[in-house]
Amino acid sequence: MKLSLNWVKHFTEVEIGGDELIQKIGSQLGAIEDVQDWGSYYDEKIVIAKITSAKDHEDADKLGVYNIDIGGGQSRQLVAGDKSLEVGDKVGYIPPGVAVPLSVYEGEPFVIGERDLRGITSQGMLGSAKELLFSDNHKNVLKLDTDKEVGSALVDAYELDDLIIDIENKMFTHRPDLFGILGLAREVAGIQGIEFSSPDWYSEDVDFAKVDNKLPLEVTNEIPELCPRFTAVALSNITIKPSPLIMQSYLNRVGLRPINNVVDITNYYMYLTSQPAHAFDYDKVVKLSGEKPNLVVRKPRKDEKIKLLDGREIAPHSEAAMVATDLNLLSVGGSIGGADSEVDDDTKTVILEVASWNLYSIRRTSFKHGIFTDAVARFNKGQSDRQNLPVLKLMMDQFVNNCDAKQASDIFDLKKTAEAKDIVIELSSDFVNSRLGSNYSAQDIAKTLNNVELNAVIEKSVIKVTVPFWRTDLELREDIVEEVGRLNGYDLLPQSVPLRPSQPNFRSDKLQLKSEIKRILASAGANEVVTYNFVSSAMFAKLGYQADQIERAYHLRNSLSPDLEYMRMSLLPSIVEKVNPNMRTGHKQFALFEVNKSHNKDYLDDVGLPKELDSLAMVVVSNDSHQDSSFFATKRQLEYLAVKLGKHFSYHKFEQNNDRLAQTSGLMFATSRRAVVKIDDQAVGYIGEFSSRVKKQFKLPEFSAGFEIDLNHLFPEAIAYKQISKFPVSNQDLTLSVPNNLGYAQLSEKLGRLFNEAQDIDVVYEPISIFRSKLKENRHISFHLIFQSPTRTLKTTEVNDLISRVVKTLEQKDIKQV
Amino acid sequence: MKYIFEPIQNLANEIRDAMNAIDDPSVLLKSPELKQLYQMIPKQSDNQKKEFGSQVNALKAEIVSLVENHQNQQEEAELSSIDITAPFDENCTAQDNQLLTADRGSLHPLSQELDRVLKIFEAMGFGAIESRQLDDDYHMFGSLNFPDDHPARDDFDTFITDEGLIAPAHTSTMQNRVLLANRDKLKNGGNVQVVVPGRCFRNEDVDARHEHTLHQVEGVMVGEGITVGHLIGTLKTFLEAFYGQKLEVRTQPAYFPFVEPGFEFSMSCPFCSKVGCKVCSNEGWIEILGCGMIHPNVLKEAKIDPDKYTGFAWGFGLDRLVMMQYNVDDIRWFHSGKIEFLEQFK
Repeated sequence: MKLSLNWVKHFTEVEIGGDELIQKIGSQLGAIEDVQDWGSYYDEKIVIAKITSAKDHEDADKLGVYNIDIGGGQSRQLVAGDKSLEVGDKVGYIPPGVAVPLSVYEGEPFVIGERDLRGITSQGMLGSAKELLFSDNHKNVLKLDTDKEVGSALVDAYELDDLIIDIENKMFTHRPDLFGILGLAREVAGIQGIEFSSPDWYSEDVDFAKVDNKLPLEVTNEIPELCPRFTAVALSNITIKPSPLIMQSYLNRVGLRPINNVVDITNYYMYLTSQPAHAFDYDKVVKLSGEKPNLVVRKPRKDEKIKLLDGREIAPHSEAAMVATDLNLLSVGGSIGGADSEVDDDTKTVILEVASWNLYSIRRTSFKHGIFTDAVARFNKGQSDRQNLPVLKLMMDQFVNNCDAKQASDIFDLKKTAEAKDIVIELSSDFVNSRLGSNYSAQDIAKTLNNVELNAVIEKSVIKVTVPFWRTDLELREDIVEEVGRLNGYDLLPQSVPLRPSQPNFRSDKLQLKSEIKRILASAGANEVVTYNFVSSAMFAKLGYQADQIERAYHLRNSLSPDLEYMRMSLLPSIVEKVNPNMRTGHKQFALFEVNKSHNKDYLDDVGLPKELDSLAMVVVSNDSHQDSSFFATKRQLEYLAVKLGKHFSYHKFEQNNDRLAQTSGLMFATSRRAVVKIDDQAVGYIGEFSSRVKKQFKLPEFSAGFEIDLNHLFPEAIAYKQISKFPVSNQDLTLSVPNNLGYAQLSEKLGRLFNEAQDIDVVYEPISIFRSKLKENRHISFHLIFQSPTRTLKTTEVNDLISRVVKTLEQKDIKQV
Repeated sequence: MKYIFEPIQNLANEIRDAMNAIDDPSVLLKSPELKQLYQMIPKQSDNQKKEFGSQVNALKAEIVSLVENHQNQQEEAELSSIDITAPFDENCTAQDNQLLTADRGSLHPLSQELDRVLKIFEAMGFGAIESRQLDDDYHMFGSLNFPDDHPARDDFDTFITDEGLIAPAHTSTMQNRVLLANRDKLKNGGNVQVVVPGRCFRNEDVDARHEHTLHQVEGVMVGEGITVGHLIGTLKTFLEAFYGQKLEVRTQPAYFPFVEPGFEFSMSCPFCSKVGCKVCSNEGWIEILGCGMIHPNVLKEAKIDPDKYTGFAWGFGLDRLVMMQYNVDDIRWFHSGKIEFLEQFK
């Protein structure tokens, strides 16, 4: 919303300088996007001049040669591409050495020079409306409509020494009144601590004259729920012409294009009051009506269409609020006019509409049909219907003054509710102070509010605020607190940290777990990545997902591109995607991991929302050759994590099941090289070397494996401390020949059980090596054993006996000492 | 798949049979019969030409995929099965097999900074829970005083699933839950004090400055007598601890439906002491977060009496904090997964 400071000054004093005001507006009204120093576009030397003689150029068809009076007894000779100027016309003269205002505005100053045009010297330039920043008109030299004397600066004649302060629209989503200069002026007064009074015409007490010569017109409203108030009047005897230049200039400054006196009035006073209005060509409405000329506010009928002012033709949705005749649609109510009833150069009679529309209905229609006009921007904030009549009266008076119009109908005023009631909000100074941390008296508060016409009176220490009709946003006491804090300046409030009971407070267990896991894996040499939740159907295709698997992924109805149309069901594929780009930039061996969430339609929580499925996934890859396979390199990372978290994982043959990870990441592994990871009997995740398909599709090296584990099973276990024995340890190595069908874990479990059968001796063992014998029927597995007793020094014979006993038992299972 | 043209179907049958019988099925792709089928295409009648051609192509595609599957199966069959319960491979010793080179490891800068942020807030008495990545309209909008069809929703370009679920555009999607879960603390004279870090999503195209996936830190404090002065004081205290220096702060009024009043919050630039630098675009000030006093309707929705209790909430972007901290010039690095970026944050 562009605020013209000079326009604001029509309604309030501004006592502080531009920079200070801009700072104050920014901190007390809303964030500023841009400030334009409008006066800086006009050099002081651009003056008002008068044509003293006019003739055609003898050697050029389209050029006129003029002498002009530029004041101070001086005259100049000008050649202009416009032969229509007459002696006595006032024009804007740009002398040599001065830049054209339009070019300064556009940031590439074009300086006028004295030049020869077909043999005649032109001592400067006469500006067009476009060049002088009044409108888009570039056909003719602009004829000025000022009474100021010849030789005075143009900038002074049209209040051009202005600041245009552009405030972000989203600051005013809740403030319908601030989409008008009048509302902005009220706030500018308020933040300066100055009392503001609305002009007399901005009052609900409006009188209209009755007219005798009435044009035939009926107005009805079939949808008061979408159009709570519809006011209109017919105006005849109109002469279409350009608006006064001062009006054109203000419109142009705030970004509205001047068109003609009729359209400009509706725009100018909309910009002043924030109340949009629309003018229909009466004679066109008559032709579009049935027997009697009429306006009907109604919904569109089936298959009805309308040509819009922006050139499009639409079939409005069935719930749209339209202005129509009994036979044809005329405009989309509160949004955009129709081309068939548009005011044009031949218009003689208009119907002026000043209405109110339901903001939700306006927004729905705006989104359905892509209509984003200045009217929509105002109506969808909820304008008060109590300003319809004063604004209708104001505009009508301008039609009489600027277009020579005559009132040609009574005032139509169709409204839903009988009488509007003022909202009264009662609060105490305590209520305000306890929310702001301030120390304002009731009198301070009342004065602040009264400055912006929020009528506040104090009755027995209660502040009673009668909300004026234009503030449709004020309902609650908290809304009044905002006004008081903002108008006085929040940054002046005393700042402190709130007192609180000194109880400890921590992040959730899950956040702690995530941060701990990340730290552990990074300390083991892996790199943490974060990847998108969004994945593509191409990714699912690469993974070989079938239709029923894809069904389980949430699909976005408004994704940015097909690359981002699904919510992922597991993390591993997103990480696998990051491998090849890193290989290409020369990284030969690395591990990437992510701790994040995924979603799956089969997993809902108690209230039916998708569960937030937390997991940890890792990929380990290498381009180098390795002693062992990638499965074990990856497993070691997982085992390192297990040790740090005090967890015990076991690894089992992969079996297909309905588990979400088995159905997604689990399918990425080679069938001979994958395992289910379990804690006790609970499957918690999957680990494996990637299948040939995945390796090919994602361009992974041969040595590549990964895992994905459900995070909920990784909460760390408490440390179980064991008393440390004072007695010496005894070390032994043991190599066993083990049949191939016996897994390492089974062997290890047996060893543990057998050794711990011994009373009073603790045995710790760890693997040293695994070798396959030449016969290939057995493996040789070596362990390092540490024996210690908590109560005595162990004898060597005792240890050897224990080993023998264990070996003997193992022999029954075909396990032999080597 | 069945082919309607006899010669195509015949070849399909032959090839399917041959697939498992020969050692290298990729030769099937070069079979003269397939070539003949291609040569037959132009000889078909006009109304059959298109259909015949597309069926030949379909057969070719089938062969390609059969060959690929066959190769994959073969390759996997060549992989010896392993003892998945073992600590390392056969013919290896414990010494052969180390973890990765430990000094290569790194924590993502977003994780590192989040940790620092949470530590400061923990010290200030705030708990923390994580935000959701998929939520419903009620939590994203309804519980936060956004009526249906309200224009304030236009400021949030959210991703929506076919079911109408929302990938939240702000961590405030957790506010109602946080208030409900902690309101009991108020009875004993305590406060609700929680920060909510999490991922957010904005429906906008990605470039050096814009991302559709962002990280936010939300904060909520509710209690008796909590004021705007406390809001400003608390955020100033946090920012000074985070940047390790005294800062000036200032507010601008802003509109968010879930607060009243609402603010944009700025701090004096911690990188140049307000002199003006690249980070603050020579302004001396940096707009760092949005905040405000929690709207009474939001408190009511969480069964907290707004006459007795007041509170404030804020939200800031973690990505931007990290970018400013390390002078990262392109937001796309965060999700790039590139090691040259990651390994700088060890």
